[in-house]
Amino acid sequence: MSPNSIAQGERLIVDAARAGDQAALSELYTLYFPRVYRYILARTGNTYDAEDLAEEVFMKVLEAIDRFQWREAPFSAWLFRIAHNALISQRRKDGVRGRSGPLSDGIALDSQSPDDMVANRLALNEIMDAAQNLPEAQRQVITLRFAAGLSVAETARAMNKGEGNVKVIQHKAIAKLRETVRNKPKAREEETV
Amino acid sequence: MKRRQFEEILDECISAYLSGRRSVEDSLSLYPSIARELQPLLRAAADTADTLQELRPPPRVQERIRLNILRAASERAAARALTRHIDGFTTRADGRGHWFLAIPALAAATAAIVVLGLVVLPGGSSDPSTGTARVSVVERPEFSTHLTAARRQLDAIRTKTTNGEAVTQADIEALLGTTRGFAQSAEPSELAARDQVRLEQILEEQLALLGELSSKTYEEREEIEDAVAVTVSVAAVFGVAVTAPDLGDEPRATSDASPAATSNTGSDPAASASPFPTSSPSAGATSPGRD
Repeated sequence: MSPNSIAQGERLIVDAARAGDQAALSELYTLYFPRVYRYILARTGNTYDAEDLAEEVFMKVLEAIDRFQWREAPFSAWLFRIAHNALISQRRKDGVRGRSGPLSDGIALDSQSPDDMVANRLALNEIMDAAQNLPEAQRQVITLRFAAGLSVAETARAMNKGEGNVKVIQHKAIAKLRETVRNKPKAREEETV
Repeated sequence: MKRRQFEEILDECISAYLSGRRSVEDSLSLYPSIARELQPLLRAAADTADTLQELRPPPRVQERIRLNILRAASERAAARALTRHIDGFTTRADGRGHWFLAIPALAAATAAIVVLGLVVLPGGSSDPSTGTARVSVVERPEFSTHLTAARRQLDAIRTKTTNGEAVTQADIEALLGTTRGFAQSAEPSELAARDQVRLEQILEEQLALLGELSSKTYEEREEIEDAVAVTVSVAAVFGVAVTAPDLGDEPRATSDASPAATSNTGSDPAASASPFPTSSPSAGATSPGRD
């Protein structure tokens, strides 16, 4: 299926949901809930916060979908702007910047075997630790692009930035992530000496 | 190569990888002149994307939240239909007034006022024995905090049982404390529709979990019985229809959200395990004994 027909299909679903069609709303939920959850979990590292905030995001979508206008932004960008605002608001309430504790044990991973699961959890911890040290804009680009699966255009609209700017931020973020992850074993060795 | 150009190519390769159109190796062979510079960044991006894509919501959580969203959507649709009905009678397309159309609209408006009087105004009451859903726009942050705490405690206990770990007396007592906190942090008439839905799910899950626990342990039996009785009492106060679990020795009993409903623990929640120290839910379901 071409990107255009996917976009057209999504437009039909969004318009039906705006008109009050519950089946369409449910379909939108199926399409976006895992992405919103993943985005929030990647930002907070806490499954409870991810569940609560993802629910809050969809309640807000329900309240505001009447006011959504296609000419302003793609639906995904609009939705993830709501998700980002919910995160900011939560952070203000908690008075902390981003992830405050270790990665939740309850995080579900799509792994086949226990060995894979352990390896994936280690990798996830490493990436989330590294992302923790990125500036806010870089963290946002990384999670919107790689956790939420938004395109550069969608990410740019969600962040109210230009596409060129998002590409620059993405480049810097990946370089910094790589650097942090690459230096980690060295740091561990130094700690043990 | 200019930095801007490199960023364009890097993004093009990342987008191709994320959409499954090209592997990292394919991209590197497509841009051999910058492959050395591109390779570490592309690998890091691919690793990050692959790892983050492993995160997924538990299906149980996804379905629970879907249900909440759809219920909230139904409530909104019903409220909107009522508003339209009231708005619609006053004017018609031809501009002539139709006073007789006012009758159903007035009836609807009267019903809305009665519902508001029963539900939203302080001191108003609705009979919890009917299980009538309450509608309120008032958010109670303290109550939401209790809901979140209860959800976490339930999930923690469930994780323990799944992992074969022992559920302790302290776990049950903490759950009991949170359950009592529901009645102390909000009047039933003050509850927002969303919180009402969350409360219903939590109380139902809690009773099911307590039922499971009772079949596994005899050491914390007393605490479990207390917790069941308190949960049933709180359900009655908030007009939530729940089924008390079968705890084994006693015959199964159900609560139909009547204030007088009892669990099958043999103890009267209104007497011994009431969450309210001074009066029982059966004394006044809409005023949880805080006076």
